[in-house]
Amino acid sequence: MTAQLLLWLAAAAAPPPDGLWAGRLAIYEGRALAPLRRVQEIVRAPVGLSLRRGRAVYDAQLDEEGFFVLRAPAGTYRLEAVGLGSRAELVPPQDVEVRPSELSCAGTLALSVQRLEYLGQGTLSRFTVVDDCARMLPFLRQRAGWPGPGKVHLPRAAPPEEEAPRVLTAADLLCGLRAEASTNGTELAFRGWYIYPILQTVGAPGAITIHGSLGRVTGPSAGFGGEFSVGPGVNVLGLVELAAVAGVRFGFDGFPTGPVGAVIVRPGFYGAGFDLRAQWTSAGPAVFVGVDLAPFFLVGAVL
Amino acid sequence: MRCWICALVVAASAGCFRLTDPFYAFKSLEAGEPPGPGYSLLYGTVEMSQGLFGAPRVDTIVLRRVGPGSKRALYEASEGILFRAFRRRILKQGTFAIHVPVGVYELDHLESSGLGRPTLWPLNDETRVASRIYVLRPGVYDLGTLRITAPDGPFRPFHIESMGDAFSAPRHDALKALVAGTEWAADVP
Repeated sequence: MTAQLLLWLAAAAAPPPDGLWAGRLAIYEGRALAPLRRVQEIVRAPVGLSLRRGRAVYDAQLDEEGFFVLRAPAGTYRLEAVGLGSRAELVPPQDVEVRPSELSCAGTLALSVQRLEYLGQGTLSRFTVVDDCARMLPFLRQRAGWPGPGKVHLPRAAPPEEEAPRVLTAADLLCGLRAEASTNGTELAFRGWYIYPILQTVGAPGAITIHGSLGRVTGPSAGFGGEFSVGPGVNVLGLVELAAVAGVRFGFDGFPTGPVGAVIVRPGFYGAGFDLRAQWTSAGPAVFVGVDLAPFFLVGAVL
Repeated sequence: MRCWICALVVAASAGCFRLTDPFYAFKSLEAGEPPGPGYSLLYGTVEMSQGLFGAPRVDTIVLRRVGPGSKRALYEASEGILFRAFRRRILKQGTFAIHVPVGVYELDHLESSGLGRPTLWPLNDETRVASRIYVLRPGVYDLGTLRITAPDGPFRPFHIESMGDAFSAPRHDALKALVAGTEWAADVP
């Protein structure tokens, strides 16, 4: 007890601009409050609380009744788990604010489980923050020997932590180049495509993509058309790509000029696939069948 | 015609070999640098037990992040990536070194490439929970060797057992060599 008191005093004695974060951790088995000692006996590990900001992690000092205090530089931290030795019971991530030269009351962090044996399994636990600071704050200040101000700053639900930004390498971008040949029996089209992944990576199930193409279309009569189209696409289960594009055809030497729209179903994998294209032009609807290849993807697959 | 036959043969055998295989065989596992301040390096080895045709060669290890939060994400260490000869090698002979943010992870499944689609080695719920890894503070984590066995036959759900060699002297030495010269080195004294 004396050692704990010394820890509390030591935690409280360091100079500003650090702040203190204090409150109580209460673990419930069903509706009954479980003493921390009993919890530790059952999980066979010390119970701990820590706050994290980037790589820096600060551990709270917990006493037998679950009261805790933590000293950390001022800032916003994340509370993500109740530590159980090398394991942990995850809680919905919380943002915790530590104010400079201030004791921030976190209230009671209540963790409920059906049975204490389930702690650390991440199943059926419930985490709530109870604002009982009005009652607890004077006690926390006295216990921490904190002469400075104390205010209520309850943890609040944190947005998901941003993961490392998606990095598209030159290889990823080059893999978006595709060459297509398709025909409807009377017209033959050669198109160069570029597919850019907006969400996820090319070829990944659920990837949302932008498709753009430049093409050359020849028909039974003289002349040819230059075609430009663009539109969104989605990859379904990694097996089929669906895209809808719209664009324009510029006719040369008698080839008709006009808008073009198409819906493309492309079964296959990212490196190669079949193109089933329902197309609408000023001449009417048509169905094209073709194949395509992504040369950089195929090269990348053998390197 | 010959060109088309050659192209077809190359395409059909793409799952069997890659042009860089001779070079890639000697390419070492690399730790890389942390992609962000909250990231950890997970180092581990997965061994498959002997099956009917010997121990399958695992070339993709997929971990699933199960928390914090409800969003599930997969983290993959694979030898089957595009342009692999020019990228950091994160898996070699079952040993992987991948970057993960703070969270709790489970082994989701393993894959072995071959002709056509890869063979998936799914793990049942019990096995996944047994493989759970708690990455609660950024650093370097050695998971040791995880042996995947099928005690009830080759087509039964797989079980996982830890060989308990995490941070053993040989692994520690290998890990220290792996992170030498990177920011991770401070975490492997």
